[in-house]
Amino acid sequence: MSRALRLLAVETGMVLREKLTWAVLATLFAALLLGAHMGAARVDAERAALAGAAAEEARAVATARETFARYAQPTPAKINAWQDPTNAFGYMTQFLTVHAVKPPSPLAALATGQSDVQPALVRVSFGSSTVFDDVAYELGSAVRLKLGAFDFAFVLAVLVPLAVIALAGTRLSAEGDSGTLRLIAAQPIGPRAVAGAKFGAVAGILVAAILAQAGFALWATGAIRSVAGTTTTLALLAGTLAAYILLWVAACALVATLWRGAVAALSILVLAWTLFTVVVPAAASLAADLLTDKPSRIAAIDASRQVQDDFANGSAGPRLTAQWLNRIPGAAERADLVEAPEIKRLARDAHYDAELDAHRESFRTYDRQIAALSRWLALASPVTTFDFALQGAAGTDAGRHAAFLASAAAYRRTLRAFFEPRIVAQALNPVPVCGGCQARLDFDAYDAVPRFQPTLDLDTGHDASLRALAWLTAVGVGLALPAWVRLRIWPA
Amino acid sequence: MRHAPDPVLAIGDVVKRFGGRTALDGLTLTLRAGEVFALLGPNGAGKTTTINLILGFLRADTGTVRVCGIDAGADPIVAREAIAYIPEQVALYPGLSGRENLRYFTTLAGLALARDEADRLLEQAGLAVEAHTRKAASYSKGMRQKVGIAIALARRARLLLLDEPTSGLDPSASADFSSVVRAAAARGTTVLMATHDLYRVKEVADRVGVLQAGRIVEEIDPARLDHAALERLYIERLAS
Amino acid sequence: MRLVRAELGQLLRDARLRWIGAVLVILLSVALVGAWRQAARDADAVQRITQAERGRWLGQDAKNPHAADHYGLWVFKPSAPLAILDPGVEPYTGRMVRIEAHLFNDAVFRAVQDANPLTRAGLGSVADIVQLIVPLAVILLGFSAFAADRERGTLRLALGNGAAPGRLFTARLAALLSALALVIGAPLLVLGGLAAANLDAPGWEVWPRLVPWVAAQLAYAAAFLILAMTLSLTARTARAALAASLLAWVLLCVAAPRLATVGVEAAAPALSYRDTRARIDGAVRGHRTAEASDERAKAILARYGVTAPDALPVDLRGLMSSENEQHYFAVFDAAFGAFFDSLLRQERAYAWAGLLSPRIALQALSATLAGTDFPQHVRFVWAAEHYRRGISERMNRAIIDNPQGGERRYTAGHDLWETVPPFDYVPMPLAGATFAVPFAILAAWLAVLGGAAALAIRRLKP
Repeated sequence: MSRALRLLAVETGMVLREKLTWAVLATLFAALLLGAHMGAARVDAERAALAGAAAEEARAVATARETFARYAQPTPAKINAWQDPTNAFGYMTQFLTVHAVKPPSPLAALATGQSDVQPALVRVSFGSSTVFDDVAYELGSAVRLKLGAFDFAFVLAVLVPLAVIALAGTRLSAEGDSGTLRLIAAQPIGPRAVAGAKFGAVAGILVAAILAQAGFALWATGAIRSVAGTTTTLALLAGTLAAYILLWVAACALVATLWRGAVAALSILVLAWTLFTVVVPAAASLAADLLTDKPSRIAAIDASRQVQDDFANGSAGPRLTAQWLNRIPGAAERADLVEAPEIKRLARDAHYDAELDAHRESFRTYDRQIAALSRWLALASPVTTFDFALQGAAGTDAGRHAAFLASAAAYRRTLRAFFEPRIVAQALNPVPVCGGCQARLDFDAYDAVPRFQPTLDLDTGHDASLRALAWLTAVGVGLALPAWVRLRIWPA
Repeated sequence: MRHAPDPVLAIGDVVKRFGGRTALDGLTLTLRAGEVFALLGPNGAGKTTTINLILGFLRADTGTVRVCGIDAGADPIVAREAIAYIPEQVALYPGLSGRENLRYFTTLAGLALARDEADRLLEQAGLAVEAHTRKAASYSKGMRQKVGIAIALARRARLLLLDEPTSGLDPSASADFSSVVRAAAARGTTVLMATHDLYRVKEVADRVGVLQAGRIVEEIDPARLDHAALERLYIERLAS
Repeated sequence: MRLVRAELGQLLRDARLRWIGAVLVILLSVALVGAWRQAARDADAVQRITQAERGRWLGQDAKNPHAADHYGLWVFKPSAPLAILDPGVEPYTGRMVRIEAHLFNDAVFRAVQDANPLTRAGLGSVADIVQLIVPLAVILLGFSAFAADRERGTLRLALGNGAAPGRLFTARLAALLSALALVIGAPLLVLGGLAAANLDAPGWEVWPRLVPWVAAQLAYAAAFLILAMTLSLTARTARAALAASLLAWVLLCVAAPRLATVGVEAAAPALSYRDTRARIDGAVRGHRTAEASDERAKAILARYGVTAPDALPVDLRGLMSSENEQHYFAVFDAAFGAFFDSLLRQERAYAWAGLLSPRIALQALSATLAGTDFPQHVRFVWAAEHYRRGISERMNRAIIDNPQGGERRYTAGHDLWETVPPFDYVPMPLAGATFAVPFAILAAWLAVLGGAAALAIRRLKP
């Protein structure tokens, strides 16, 4: 066995005999188990919410069908349009229960990401006050959101570097303080070989232990139930985690080569951790805000109200309704339809959509741009680089949410396109109903209502992991190289 | 024609400056196999700088430092193959036992020491058997010194560098130390010790050099040093 | 006092203090100025749209009051002026509510939902800096207070020559605290006060809130200072003191807040919003059917002893509308009442979680003092809802009093619109806020740490 390997083995044995090593690894293991458990619980809750929404949709359809059957009989009770699910307009505006959903990805438990502030479930409705597609959220404890989730990504991205600093941060510098370094340096061996063995041993232990612990935690808590379709991403993430650990070990090695002692080394490393965990992300966030033009919600609301005001007051409403009707074959000569509530409403909504489209588009563009820009700016810190890779793999990233909102908006248009011809047809030629029947009985195609098709692009997670792996490896090498150069000679 | 063997240590006209301060100013010293040389000098005379140059931790501004013919400045790792060094404070890993410390440091030097061999060396250095497996955190300075000696013994180095080897040791430990040094010299090991301890010097050294302001200003035969001469030497040369 | 002056003099010569102080002042100033400018911009935008909304409400054409009720308006939550120092939960709660007939709308457009995804990773505010970075700075200043002296042997010298450890500790603590007050307290008080006062926010009691707020931040910093100095008293080396202090910092400031969410969610779970909405939908659904409406109409006619709506002295639809709203109000009161109560209960549990870490205690206390806590939001939500109900009742009353039927169509105009006052939100006064628990817990932290310091002083060995 070569001297380097023997030395590595001896150093590994020494690290393993330190109580601190076991204390740190045990704490980390507990944290990983808790993080994975919390992730699994969150994903379960998300799945339950989706199942609840699906049940609610089914119940709404069943109720409508049952109401149709009841209202198909003569009744003395007056049935207003807003009480009538047998009418396309009534059903669309009052009874339609459908959702755009963002189902959790197979690796969703890895990172909470944006999932605790951005909804995974948006009820698509045609209520009178809908201004934007993305207003929905699940009101809950605001303090919980402020404190942040104790999730797997937090443990890996934030706590793992601290574990690395605890175990590797004072290697060599502690020996320098105690005087052992002088005795080591007096042996016929260069500093690179000694540092290589010392940092190599701790790196080997940390990489092996943390990868094993993380894998076990995900398996034991049921956070990842199936790896089908995600094996490559998982392998890349494991590589990224290893690169992340090695990067912090390299940082410890570089700081050790300053030969300033353990106190200085520890101070510098913890300050570096703070810098990259909170200060650089804050600066990156500031830069993101400066580099993008964030549309104003208040201005958009003002615009929406302006449009509403224009339509509701003065002569614009009837004029716009007549214009809208003119586009429909056979409707132009039906002057009475201008006053039909459903036609007024469709014309009004079409007008709103047209007038507010620029505002909605500016929000969608902003969502896309800020997600893409943040992905790049996240590279300014290894912590956010890794965190974003985990979010990407978990499908809880801002990019996926932006795409989800866009598809929810598209779904809304699909639904409108489904109902609009049916409503117009009924207005032009009401279907005959039985004598004594009060309902309109023109719509029972409840099952034909388009359903939202959720998408899950597994490539995003794959690409995010690959990008992070490449970047973290490059940064790690960038830190290790100057350390290597500085370790040419022992300090006098 | 047969060449004479290289001296174990050859320091030739070495100058070393730190900023504006001259630490060594034309130091010249040659030691042959089996010689015990004591380097005496007040604080700041250049003793530690000399040791750092021999170990290759520093490079001379001018002049050469050769260990067994190898340029210590240019090739320090190879030069250190021939050197065993015991610093003034032998700092060991407190969590490891004496035996484990010995095996660790010899591994650094590329040796694979069996457990028996390690115990034999520790015993030879004078460390009580019961202490071999005890954690070094509980060791006295003398015990740590003995582990340092065991490391040097294991190394079978041709040059033994000792930095204030007896400072802080009790008289009996100092005496033990002297006998170890003599035994090493008898095996042909060259010893260079930097020290203040005049009495120990008289006991073990073959030659004594007085270092002052970066150069050897006087070389003395310790056999000729009587009590009065020691006192004079101390007052004139060491009491800086 | 002489000793304090001597320690302070020594401290002020320390380059470490100058560096740490400069970094802190820069970080705090950047965060404060950024928040202040944003707050000023937001307040300006809110004021403009509030005026525009009022104009639109008053400028409506003549129409049936129920149509006006549907037309509605938007109301905006005024941001607490001290949110520029501690935004509390404001970014996590909706900022505006659509007021319209029948619907208890959510407060929407939470800042966090519109923020870029890097925002939550970094330091968002002055309060974040105080809560996370200041303890670290304090540790870096305090860890060597005694451990370094012990390592150098100067502690032995000092104690051996009759220095009283208690006095030494107090003097050093006082010197470091004075430095902290200078570096953190003064800029927060002066800059924060000027900026907050400049925001023109009547009813927010800026100064009575600001002074205790700054005091709470200093008390928090003092807790970590005492912690670091106590560890410095007991640790054998400066390295051990630093390592122990940093470990405490990681546990208390980094891990504990997130761990608290795990504990509180398990111990004091809140009602689910989705379930609450489902309950409301269920209660409303049965009430809205044609059959149920028909029954209610018949009951009204019977109550007035007539058989036809035209014979009523009031408008039937108006009366039914009003009675429907009363039903909905009761449903909302029960469902949202229980929901918000459960969230407030959870909020109180979070205050108790301050026992885990002074950071959690400070977070609760600081947000309450700043007026950016969750109860403040709940007050706004209900204020908006009551304003909405007021409009609905006024509109329905007008309809009831002006029966329609046959050729009679009732339209109201500016006179009726004008009877609706502008939305005037009065924030919860400081006296009404509940901060006893986090205050007591923060005080307990100080007391416990002080006690630990006293014990360490008594057992001090050089």
